[in-house]
Amino acid sequence: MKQVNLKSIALVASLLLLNACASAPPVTPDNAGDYFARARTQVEDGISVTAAVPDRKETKAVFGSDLYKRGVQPVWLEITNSSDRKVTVLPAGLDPGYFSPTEAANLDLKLVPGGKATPSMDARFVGQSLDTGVDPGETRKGFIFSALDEGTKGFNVDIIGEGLLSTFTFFIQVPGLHIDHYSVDWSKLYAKDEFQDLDADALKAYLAAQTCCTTDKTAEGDGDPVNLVVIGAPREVYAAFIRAGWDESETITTGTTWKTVQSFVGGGEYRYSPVSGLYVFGRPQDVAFQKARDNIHERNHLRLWMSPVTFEGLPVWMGQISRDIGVHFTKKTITTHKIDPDTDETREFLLEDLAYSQALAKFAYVEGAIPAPIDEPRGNFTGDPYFTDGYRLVMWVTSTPVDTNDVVFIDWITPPDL
Amino acid sequence: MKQGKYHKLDAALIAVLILLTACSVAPYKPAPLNVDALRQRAEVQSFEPLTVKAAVPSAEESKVLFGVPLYDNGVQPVWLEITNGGDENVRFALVSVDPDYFSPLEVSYTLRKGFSKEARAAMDKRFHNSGITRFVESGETVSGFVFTHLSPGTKSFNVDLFGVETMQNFAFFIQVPGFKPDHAEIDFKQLYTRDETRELTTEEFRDSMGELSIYTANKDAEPSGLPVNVVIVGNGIDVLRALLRAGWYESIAASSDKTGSGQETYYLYGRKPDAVFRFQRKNSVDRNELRVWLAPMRVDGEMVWLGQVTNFVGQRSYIEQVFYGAHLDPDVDDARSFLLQNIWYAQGLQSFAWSNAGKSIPFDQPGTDFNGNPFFTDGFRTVLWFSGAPYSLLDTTPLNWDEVPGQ
Repeated sequence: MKQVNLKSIALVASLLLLNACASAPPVTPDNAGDYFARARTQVEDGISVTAAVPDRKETKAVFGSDLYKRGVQPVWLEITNSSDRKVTVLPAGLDPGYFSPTEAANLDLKLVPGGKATPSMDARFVGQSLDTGVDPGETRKGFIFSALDEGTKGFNVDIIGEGLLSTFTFFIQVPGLHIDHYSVDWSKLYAKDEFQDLDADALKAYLAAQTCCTTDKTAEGDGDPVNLVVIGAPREVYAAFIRAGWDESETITTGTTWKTVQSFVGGGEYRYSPVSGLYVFGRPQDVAFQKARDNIHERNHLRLWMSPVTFEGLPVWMGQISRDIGVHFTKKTITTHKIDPDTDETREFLLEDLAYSQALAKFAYVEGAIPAPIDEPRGNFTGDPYFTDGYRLVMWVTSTPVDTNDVVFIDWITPPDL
Repeated sequence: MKQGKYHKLDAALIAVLILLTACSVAPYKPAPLNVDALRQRAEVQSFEPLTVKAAVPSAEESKVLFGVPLYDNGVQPVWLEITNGGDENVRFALVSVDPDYFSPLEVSYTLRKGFSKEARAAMDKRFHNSGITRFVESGETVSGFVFTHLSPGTKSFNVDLFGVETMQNFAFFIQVPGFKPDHAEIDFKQLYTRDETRELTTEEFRDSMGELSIYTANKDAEPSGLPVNVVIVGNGIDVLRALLRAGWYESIAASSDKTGSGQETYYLYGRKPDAVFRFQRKNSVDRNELRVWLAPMRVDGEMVWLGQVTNFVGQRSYIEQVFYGAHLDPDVDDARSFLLQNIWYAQGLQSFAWSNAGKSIPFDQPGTDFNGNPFFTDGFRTVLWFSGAPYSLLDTTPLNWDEVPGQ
């Protein structure tokens, strides 16, 4: 239940004001910035799908309305049907809770007296929306209105026809956020001759020998347990987590600090909030993902560090995951997230989460973190206790969907009681 | 000077801390954990060699079990007992019950306010020990709770168990004490006499489309409501299961003539809807609403329901509702197409057809219903054959009735 607060009243006032003076000029996609430059095209079964995602500014220019503010993100599609059957695009495949054009047209206006879009607004949204039926030889283009994802937008375009179901998966970067891994120079992390390709036995030994826990900047102290290993090329890793609904994280800037403070105070969602640095290999994580749940205080955090070894040619990443269950005060950092002390529970959640998102091909366990029973918990940097069986979960992630039933367990070792 | 200020601040801080500590003294003394009642009424499903028992405690029962009001905090525990009579160990996937389930210690941490330090430790213990484990070894039985998000009405969830090469799905639909959905108040057998209900073949059903009401009515039976844009074929339990699996919620019976959106109720066959289902969008308070009425006909022995599906938008916050109430998306066809896709993706659709009711109302000359909602439509209805058990997406059959709308 949302409460009436000062912010809403201020919002009402400012919207009334805006309405009084705003009259957006009609704009067409053709003069709305360069999101087409970021478009991607895929062809399959005689059907070509081009997709582009306008950023906040471009969206405003096209629709004359700040849709991002209302949590709506238009996705532009162009479908060319070179097959011999009629096909239909399913908006629910792109977003199960997609918005209808008239719904999107009205979202930004409902605080205005009358609360309804003008007929010309409705017409603009309806006119620019995608006609979902595409006859043979025909091309259709237009927008589908989806829920907002900043950073990388990962989505499917499902197309059906007689005896046909084709899924086109897109991952499109939308400008506007300072995502952490955009600024990592992967080629500079390690020298080429530094990489070592290991066989299974050597990998097991390597993984078991790695640090039990994250450290601080000075490479001292024991933080949270390093309880994950991820195997996959950077693009596969990132596609797998995006597919499973994880969000990327911004780097710390004045802007992102302000966004964090706002959501901290308001308890609202800032899905991409910067994640504090924990250290492995003497550097903070290369990439952090987070999965927001009901509010900023309850989300899962995951950090990955690329290691200097590969397995069957694929990069091997050390990782750490924790489930934030609230906030508490500390001497060191003033406030911090309280983590679920049962870190194994969180680790197993991730396994299921990726498997059910069809982003997991294989998994196994190795030793390497230090076991800490429930009645003798260890503590992380901010004094949060945790307990663990000391095993690390090894996951081979994939951007090509793998059916949950087909995930393979590699029996290196089985933790005795999960 | 400065020093003095700090001292004052410290004193104030200490006072606040003392106050806070003073509040955090409530003891935690729940009754010993007793799941006998749950075990007794549990629904049992078996796929040899695996057996799963499931029960959902009510708000009151949950409070007794855990000593804190879980429902008030949006948490609904689900009790499970899993027996593995096979030769290989199986793994239970908690996310099959709720993809965003709460961990036991998360629940106790969020409810810790007001309890003393010892009480908090006792709470952590109670929750941690009552959570179910993931591994069920050969010949073993395990039981415990999964802490899920509260959903109103019949609790619909899966329990997926994985062996090395096998996966077994159990689908549960469990009535939770304390919630009586609207359709449970209706005696469907009494709605029509045997003579009133026509038995039709699919072909006759198609021919009878022209006889169905085009619009719903107001309480004076004037057909000035919204288009009847959905026809559903399926027995009650199958329709219910398909909708629950697709994420729709049941409603409790309306006590007044107002809908949940503060508008006058829509009528058909001289009565209010037999059931209202709502689909809540994840990121907003926008929602879809489906109202259904049992029709006096059966197709190949299955029940037929007339329905009206709409999309209510524009209810972001309390203040907005006070000023403007609900706002119906005028594009009622979109709500219809949403339902079709939603049920299809949830594997609840056996076949579908389009039927042209012949009353198209164009976008630039919208109609208005008796509630003052403007709307436009192509005049088509979608006819949906629901499946209670999962029906593969690729097996759904489109029937070639009327030309697909929008061409």
